[in-house]
Amino acid sequence: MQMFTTHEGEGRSMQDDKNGLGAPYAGRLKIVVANSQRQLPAWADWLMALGEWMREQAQRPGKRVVVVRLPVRNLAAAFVGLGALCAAARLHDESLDWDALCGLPEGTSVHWRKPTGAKSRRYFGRVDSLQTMYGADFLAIDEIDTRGRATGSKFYLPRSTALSHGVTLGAMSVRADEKLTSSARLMQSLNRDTSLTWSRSPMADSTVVTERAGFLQDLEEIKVQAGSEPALWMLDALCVADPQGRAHGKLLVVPTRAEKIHDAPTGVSILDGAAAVSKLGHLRARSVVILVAHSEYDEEVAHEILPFLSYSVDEGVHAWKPDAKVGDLPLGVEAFAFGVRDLGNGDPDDVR
Amino acid sequence: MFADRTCPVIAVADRPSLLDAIDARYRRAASCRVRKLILDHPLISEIAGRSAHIFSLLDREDDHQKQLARGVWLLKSTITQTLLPFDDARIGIASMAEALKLEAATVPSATGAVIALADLVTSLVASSTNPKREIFLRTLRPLAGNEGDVAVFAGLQGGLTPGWPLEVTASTDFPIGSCMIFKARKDVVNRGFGAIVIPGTLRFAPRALSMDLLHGGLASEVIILAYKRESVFVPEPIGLPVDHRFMVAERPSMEESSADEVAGQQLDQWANESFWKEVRAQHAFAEPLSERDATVAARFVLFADGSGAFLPDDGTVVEVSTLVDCPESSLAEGDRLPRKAVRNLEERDLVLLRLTGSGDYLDDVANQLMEREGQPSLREDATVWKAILFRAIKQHGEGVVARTARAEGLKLRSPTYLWNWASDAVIAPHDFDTFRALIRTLSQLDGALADVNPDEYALKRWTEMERLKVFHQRAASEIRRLLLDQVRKLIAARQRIETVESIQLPGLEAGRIGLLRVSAIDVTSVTIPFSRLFHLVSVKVA
Repeated sequence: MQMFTTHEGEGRSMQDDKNGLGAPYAGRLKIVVANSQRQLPAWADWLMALGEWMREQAQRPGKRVVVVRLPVRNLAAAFVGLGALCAAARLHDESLDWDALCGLPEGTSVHWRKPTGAKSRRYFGRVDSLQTMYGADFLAIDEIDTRGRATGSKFYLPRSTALSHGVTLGAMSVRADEKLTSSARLMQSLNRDTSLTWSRSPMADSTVVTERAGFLQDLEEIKVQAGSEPALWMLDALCVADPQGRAHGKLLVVPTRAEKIHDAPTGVSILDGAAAVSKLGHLRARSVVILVAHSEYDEEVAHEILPFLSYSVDEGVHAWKPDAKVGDLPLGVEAFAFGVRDLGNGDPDDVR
Repeated sequence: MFADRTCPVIAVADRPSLLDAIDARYRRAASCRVRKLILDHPLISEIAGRSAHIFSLLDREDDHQKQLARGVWLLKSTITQTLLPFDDARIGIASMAEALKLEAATVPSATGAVIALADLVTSLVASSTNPKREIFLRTLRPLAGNEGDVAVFAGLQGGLTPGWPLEVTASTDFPIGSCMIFKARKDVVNRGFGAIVIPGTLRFAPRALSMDLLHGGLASEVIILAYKRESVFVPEPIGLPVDHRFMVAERPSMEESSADEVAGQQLDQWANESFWKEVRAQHAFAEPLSERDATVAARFVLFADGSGAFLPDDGTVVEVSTLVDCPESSLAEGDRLPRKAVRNLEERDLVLLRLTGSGDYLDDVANQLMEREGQPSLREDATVWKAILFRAIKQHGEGVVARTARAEGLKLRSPTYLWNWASDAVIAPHDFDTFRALIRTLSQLDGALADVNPDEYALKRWTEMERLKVFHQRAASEIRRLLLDQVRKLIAARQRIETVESIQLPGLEAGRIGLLRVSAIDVTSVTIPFSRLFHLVSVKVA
C-alpha cells in the first residue's frame, strides 16, 4: 500500500502557482539514439522526478538524503541531474544571483565577458570586495592575466552589469554559452515557467560525484528532445561544468577519487556508486541522492550510511507534489529517504 | 578455452545502444523469477556424505592430510558442479578417485573411507549419465526458442571452479539452442538473457556478481540447479529501512531450500577459505622497509601464470582485456589506456604490471627520465620535507602536529592523513596553501627548519614537486604511447594472451613490463606496507 506524507499545504510548492508542469516527463521528453526517437523509459522518468523533488526541497529547511538501489547504475545519475536542473531552472530567482556573487569569498576566481563591438571579450579576475559607491553596490574584481598574474586593473561591476555580463565561476567559452542557451530552451519547452536567465546565473547548480570518464562516456550517444526544439545532446542539456573552473556549466561532475569535494551548495548532490558514498559527510548541498546498484549495496555501504541514519530526523524530508509520481517506484528499484540535522557533524575539514 | 564465453559475437552495427541495454535490464529486473531445481540423487548424496565423513577424520594441520582433504573436496565439487558427463576425460573424475586412494594409503584413519568413496565414484562414472546435465539440457530445450539466449554461470568458485575446465565449449558440450558460458561480470556486461542457469550454490561466488545475477536484470529467469546435498545458498540483499513514502518493490519469489548438510558445508567452507588464508599467510605479513613505509589496504590478485601481487584496494590498474580479446573494440580514445578499480577486477582481466624489479613502474621510468635530463636528485630534493614531517610525527605525535597545523590554517579530514604525506603514497598535498601551512607547522616543531624562511622553503619545495609531477606525467605518457603501440601490434597479429605477455618497451630500461591474465581475486583486503604493493611473487599452496 503506497502512502504519501503530504500534509496540509505542504504538498504544493510555489511552482504550482506558476502553472508549470514539472515531473513526470514521460510523453514530453523524448530520447534520441542514433537518429531513432523513443519514449522516456519509466525508470528514467522516475529518476528525473526524484531529482526534481530533491531540488525543490533544497529550497526548504533541513537536509535530506535519499538512497536508491537500482538494478544497474549507468545513466541514473544523469537523469537525476537532469531532473534537478529542470527544477532549478523553474525555481530560479535572479535576485539571488547577485546575493550569491556578493557572498563569494575574497580571492575567488571569476570569469566575465564584456561586449566589445560585435564580439565579447573575456576577462579573468579574483573577487576583491563588495563596495558601495554613489548609493549603488559594486563588485570589485582584481583582473588577472591568463597566467594568473595580477594586471593591476580593478573592475567595479554594478549589479546589472555583473549579471548581464555573465560573471561565472568557470570559464565561459563560446561552446559553453551555446550549451547553456540550448539547455535553457529545452527546459522551457518542457516547463513553461522556466527562467531563461537561469542559464546566465554565475554558479553551477548541482553536483554528481562519480567515475567521471565512465559517466561522460555513457552519455555520448544520447540526445534529448522536447517540443519543437531540435534534439540536444544529453551532455549539453546537463551543461557539465568542470570542478576546477575550466568550463562553466550547471552540473558539476566531480571524480570520486577527488581528495576534496566542493559541491554546489544550492542544488542536489548525487553520489553515484558505492565508492562515492564515503563523501556523504563532506557535502554542502542540502539535498543528497545516493545511487547504488543492488550489487554494490554491501555491508561497507550500509556502514557508511548508518551513522547518518542513526541521527535522522523527519523534518528535513518534505512531501512531493501529489502528481509528481516520486512515490511510484519502478519495479526493481528500492529507495528510502531520511532527514539529517547536520550532514557533516561539524566542519568536515576539522581535525578530529 | 571457453570459446563461447568471451567476446560475445555481436556485430558492431547490431549492438544495442547503452540506453536500450539498460532499459532492457530494468524490464528484466522487474519481472525476474528465481527458480530452484533441487535434485535428490541417492548416489551423489552418498558421495557427499562420505566426503564430509572423510573430512572429519583428517588432521588439517598436517600438510599431507590437508592435501588429501582438498582432493576430496575437489572430487566432490567436480561431481556436484559439472554439467559434463561424469566420464568426460576433461574433468578426470575417475583419475581423481584413483589418486585419492593412493594418497590415502599413508593415512590409516581415512584409508577405508577413501576406498569406499572411490568405489562409489567408480559406480557413478560407470553409470555415465549426469542427472544435473540431463535436467539442464531438458531445461534448455524449451528455453532455446524464447527471446534471448541461455547463459550458464561457471564461476561458482571464481576462476578455479571444479567441474568447469577451461576447455568446455557451450556449442559442442551443450548442443541445444543458444547457450553461453560465463565466469565473470565483464563476460555479460550490457547483455541480457532469457535465462541464467546456476549449476550449484552461490555461497562462494563473489557477492556482487551473485547480486547482479539475481537482481541486476541480466536475465528474465534465474534457475538454480543443485543437488539436495549441496546446501543451496542464495544471497539476500541487505534490508533497507522501511520508508512509507516509497512503495517497496516486489522481490522475485523463491522456493525455500530443503537441503541442510552442515558437515558438507564445513568441507566447502574450509576448502574455499583455506586457499586464500594460506596465500595471505605467505605474503601479507611482510615487514615495512622503513618506519616511513606507511600501511595501506590491499587485495591479493592471483595471475594465470601462478604468480600474484598485492594491489591497492582503493587504486586502479591499467586493464586491457577488452582491447586485446575483442579486437572490434578499437582504441577509440586514442592515447588513453583503460583503467579499472582493483576492487572491480575480475577473472580473465588483463592487467599491466612490471615483471622485474619492484613496485610501481611509473616511479622508475620517471627516475630514468630525470637522470637522462641531468636532474637525478630531483625526487630526493623535492621530497626531503617528508623526512622532517615523519620525524615530527614520531617525536610529537600526530595529534600535536595536527593541532599545530590547524592553528596555521591547515585543514585535515583526519590527523592520520599526515602519515600519507610523510610516506611515498602521495607526492604532495593537493594545493600550495595546504603545503605552506604544513611547512609552517614543521618549522615550529622541528629544528631542521629553524633557520629558514618557511614560506620560501615551501615555495622552493613546491616548485620542485611540480617539476617532479611533470616527470611523472611524461613517464606515464611515454609508457602509454609505447604500450599502445605494443597492444596494437598484438591486436593486429591476433595474438591471444592466456597467461602473461612480456612487453619490452623500447628506450625504457626500468624493468620489464607485462600483461598478466587475472586468475582470481581475494575477496578480503588486508593491510600491508606500501612498499609491498605491485610486487609479483610466486604462489604455492599445498
